[in-house]
Amino acid sequence: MNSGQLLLVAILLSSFIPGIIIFCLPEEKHRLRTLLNLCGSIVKIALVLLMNAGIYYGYVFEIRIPLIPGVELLLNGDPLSALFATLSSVLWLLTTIYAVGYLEGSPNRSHFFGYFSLCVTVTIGIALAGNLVTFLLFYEMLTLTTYPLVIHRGTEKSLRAGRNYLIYAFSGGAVFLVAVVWLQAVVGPVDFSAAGFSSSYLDTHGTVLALIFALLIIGVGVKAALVPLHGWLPQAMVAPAPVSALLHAVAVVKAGAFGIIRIVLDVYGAQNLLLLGVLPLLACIATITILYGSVRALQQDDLKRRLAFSTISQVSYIALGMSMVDQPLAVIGALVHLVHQGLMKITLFFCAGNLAETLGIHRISEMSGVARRMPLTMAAFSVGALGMIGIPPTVGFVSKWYLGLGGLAGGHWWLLLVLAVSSLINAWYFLPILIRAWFAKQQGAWPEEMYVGRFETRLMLLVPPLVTAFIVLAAGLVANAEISPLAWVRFIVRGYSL
Amino acid sequence: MIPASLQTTMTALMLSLAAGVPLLMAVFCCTPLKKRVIRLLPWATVPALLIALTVPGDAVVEVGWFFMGGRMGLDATGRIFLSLSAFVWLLASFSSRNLLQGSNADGRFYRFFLTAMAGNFGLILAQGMLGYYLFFAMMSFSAYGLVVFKGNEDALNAGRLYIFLLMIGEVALFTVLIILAHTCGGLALEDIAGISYQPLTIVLLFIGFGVKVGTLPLHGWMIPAYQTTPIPAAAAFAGSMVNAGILGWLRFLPLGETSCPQGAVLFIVVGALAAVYGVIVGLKRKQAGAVLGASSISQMGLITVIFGLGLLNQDAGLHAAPVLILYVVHHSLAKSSLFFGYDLVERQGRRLSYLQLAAILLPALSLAGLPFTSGAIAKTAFKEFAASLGEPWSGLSTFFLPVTAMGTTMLMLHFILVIRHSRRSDKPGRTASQIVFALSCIAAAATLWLWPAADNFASHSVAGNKLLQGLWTFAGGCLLFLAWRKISFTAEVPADDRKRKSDFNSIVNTVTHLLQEKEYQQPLENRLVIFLRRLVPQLRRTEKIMGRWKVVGLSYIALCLCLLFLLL
Repeated sequence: MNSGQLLLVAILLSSFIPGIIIFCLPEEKHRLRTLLNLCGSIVKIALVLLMNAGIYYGYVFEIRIPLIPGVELLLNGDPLSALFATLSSVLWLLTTIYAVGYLEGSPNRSHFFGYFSLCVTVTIGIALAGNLVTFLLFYEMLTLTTYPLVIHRGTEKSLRAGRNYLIYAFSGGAVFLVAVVWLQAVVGPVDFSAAGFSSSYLDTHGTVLALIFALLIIGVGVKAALVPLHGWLPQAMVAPAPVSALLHAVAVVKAGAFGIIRIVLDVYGAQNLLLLGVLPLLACIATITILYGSVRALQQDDLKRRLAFSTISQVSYIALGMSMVDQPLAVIGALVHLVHQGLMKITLFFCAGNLAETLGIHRISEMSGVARRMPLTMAAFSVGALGMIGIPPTVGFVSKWYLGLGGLAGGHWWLLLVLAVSSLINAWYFLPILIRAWFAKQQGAWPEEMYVGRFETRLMLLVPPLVTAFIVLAAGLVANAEISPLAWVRFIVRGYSL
Repeated sequence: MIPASLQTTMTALMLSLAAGVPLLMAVFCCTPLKKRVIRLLPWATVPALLIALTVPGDAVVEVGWFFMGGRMGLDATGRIFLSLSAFVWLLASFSSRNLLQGSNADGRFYRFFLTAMAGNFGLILAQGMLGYYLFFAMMSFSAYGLVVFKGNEDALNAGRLYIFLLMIGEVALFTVLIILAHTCGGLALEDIAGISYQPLTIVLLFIGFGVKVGTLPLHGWMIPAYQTTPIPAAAAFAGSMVNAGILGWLRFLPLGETSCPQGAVLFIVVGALAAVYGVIVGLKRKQAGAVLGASSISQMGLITVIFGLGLLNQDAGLHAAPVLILYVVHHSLAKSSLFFGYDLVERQGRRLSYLQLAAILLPALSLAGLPFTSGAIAKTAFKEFAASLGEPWSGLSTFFLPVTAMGTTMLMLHFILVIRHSRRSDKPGRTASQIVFALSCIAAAATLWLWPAADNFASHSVAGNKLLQGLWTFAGGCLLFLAWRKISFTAEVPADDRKRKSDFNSIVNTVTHLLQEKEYQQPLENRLVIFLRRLVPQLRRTEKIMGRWKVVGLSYIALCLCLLFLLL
């Protein structure tokens, strides 16, 4: 085993081992548990950054384990996996800190943090997967590890949401499995690094390959919450706030979106998809999802539900960008939105969690004047919300800018209309929240004020959203610098020679 | 000898101070240091003023890492806009320094004030499309905090309207920027030169910046916002922030390099409509801020017309640019000094003295274009420019401009009456307010006379026939105003006679009703009830007309004194 392979294993183990130990720890050892969690996530970030540096300088990270003839388990560190792995590991650290503060004193914490660590291990596995079979494996494991987190509260409502999540996720998984096997039968094993199978298959199996593409997209579309496969996501918001953050920004929805990117860029490849002519279909689904999600978000009074519908809409920008895969600028927009949406949405969910944990606020109608009580939380929320609308200099603007430029370069004028309408609706459902929080007067007492102290809320709850909000601003302001997500995404796209 | 790279860094640093210092102060407003920061408020404008006066011309620096490629610099247009904005913001910060006392002084107002200021300076210095958009958004969104600052129902309604139109403008701008970036292949403002515009691009630019300019039909926010914004901030709004829209047009549709006759017609027609509409709406308003807002709609309409004329062809564009800038400078200084005058009235707890009245008449009548004021110079420039364009546009100078000048005269006289009767309270900061008002009046009166580029127009404006024409227009405006007062009062007296006597009034009513923002209209039935209930006091007020006559007479005398003073 060479050092590159060791590094890949170490990246996976850095959250797996703490997870296993945490399962075995007694409930009351919360200091040790927190220490393990934090050490694991810091080590993971360090290792992922090391891998990024290696990838940047052209070092190969690859592990191949043959399973059965023709099927092998393949872990591969390429620039795209580095993007997702970095996002997940950085946000995992912040979410862990947040979760420690959030769940203070609640039961079953060993259980929770154990699954939490496993979930991140699996997400990194998805990021590092080097072929469809490996991707499928981790993708199914993700469902299994997130289910206990969704039903963590154990209430009737959360059990129902969990059941629904399982039904959706496993049916999606089944479709995905069929598609993967079928594809393997038609074109043989496809490594992601090959950037698409040979176009000679299109002449002989054109229709079948188009059908398989549709099945693959349906398979990952469940987790990416493409309409009409999105039903589980708004229900899953009954889970605790850190889990919502995980579902929406770090792991599940992101895994779906990442799957779309892999299928389009690496399994089929831009040229094949253009020849197959299936991209307009993807564009159509993405557009419907964006608009439908935005409109549904408008109608919600429950803050987390509104954020959930907003996720449905925002994640589809990635699918929309991938539907214009022949345009490098659109691909940049899509890939960078994977990171940007994660940063913005996690900020919003952290803040929503703070409101619920500190003042018992769950509904937007209860938020009048809350910014006077919790100015820092609401400042972070405002940054995230303005980012979602796409106001400069936040990262949301950067994503939309590249999507728009890419669309125009490909002659898709309708895309500008979609972006404009969606920005307007985004403003329509985010600005009233900000106005209510900052400028309206408080009406009566807070629903359930639970924390009074030196800061507006517990420090462990306050710091993570402030950090992510800062990144949302800073990564937009220095978008052109060498260290920004945008720079890395440009590096990825250069590799594909679109 | 300083190396070139160091010099670039120095310039970049210097330029970024213009927006950086106010922004930093805004950040400090969130800390316990806020009291001190508020005391130092006027200093926030000093870097911008210094840059406008000292940085050598055409300095452009690239800051590659900043927001997808930052470009900053100061060109000739930028210098004028920056000096103007810095001056207006300086006065505004002087008079808002002690605006809020006690519990209200929680730094929130000043945070928005300073961020809006930073955005305003930043966008002037921006030489890239995205930089302009960034600072434009920063200014516009912070200004929302100023609009709703009072927190009452009116303010929140005004804010709702403001943010609604703002978002439409933002999205239009975002879309058009993508289109421009795609067509130009670059993000620098220089890259725009010489491209051919599609109709959609023109319309989107018209909407995107038109919201700020308050052009029809995107004007809805202006009147309510000017009404609810704390007055010094409203002065900054009217004197500086709305100019960001004009500068946006100048930057993205550079005059002299663009020729687009269809787009030109859009600007001219809408601008002309706005010029008339503003007057009609303003005459119905009873609150000084609202009247000034309506006047801004009208004046910005005129500026829109000038801009439209400049789009007709490249030659016209070359001539339009200096006229446009002249008009912008004139309007900003006059309008902000009217706001400062209004601020003084609100603060001093008693009626204006005759001296103050004379002083406030100066910018008011300057807007109306009375001879010997800066307005006369600006209007002469406009007329000569329009006349040089040949038929049909030269008709503007013979017919349209005198009509709007009369309208503005009416509106300004109405403003004076309103301000005489506005609610007064004794608030702190009277002295500062007096000084600010005096300074703004001097600036409004003197600037264009000292303006090197306006020499020709200044001398033409006092030439025999122009002088006479100006006086006639003014007298016409006064007469029309008196007639309007008479009609509008008799119209409101006996319910039976209304139909017969108030044709003009009902037209006005219908027009305002149709064009006005819906949210501010009470249902028609309610209005009727309220109207009936008010009939009795209305009768009593009618008896006081004579009293008002006296007011008009007095202002007339004051005006003559002013004239005399200027002649000497």
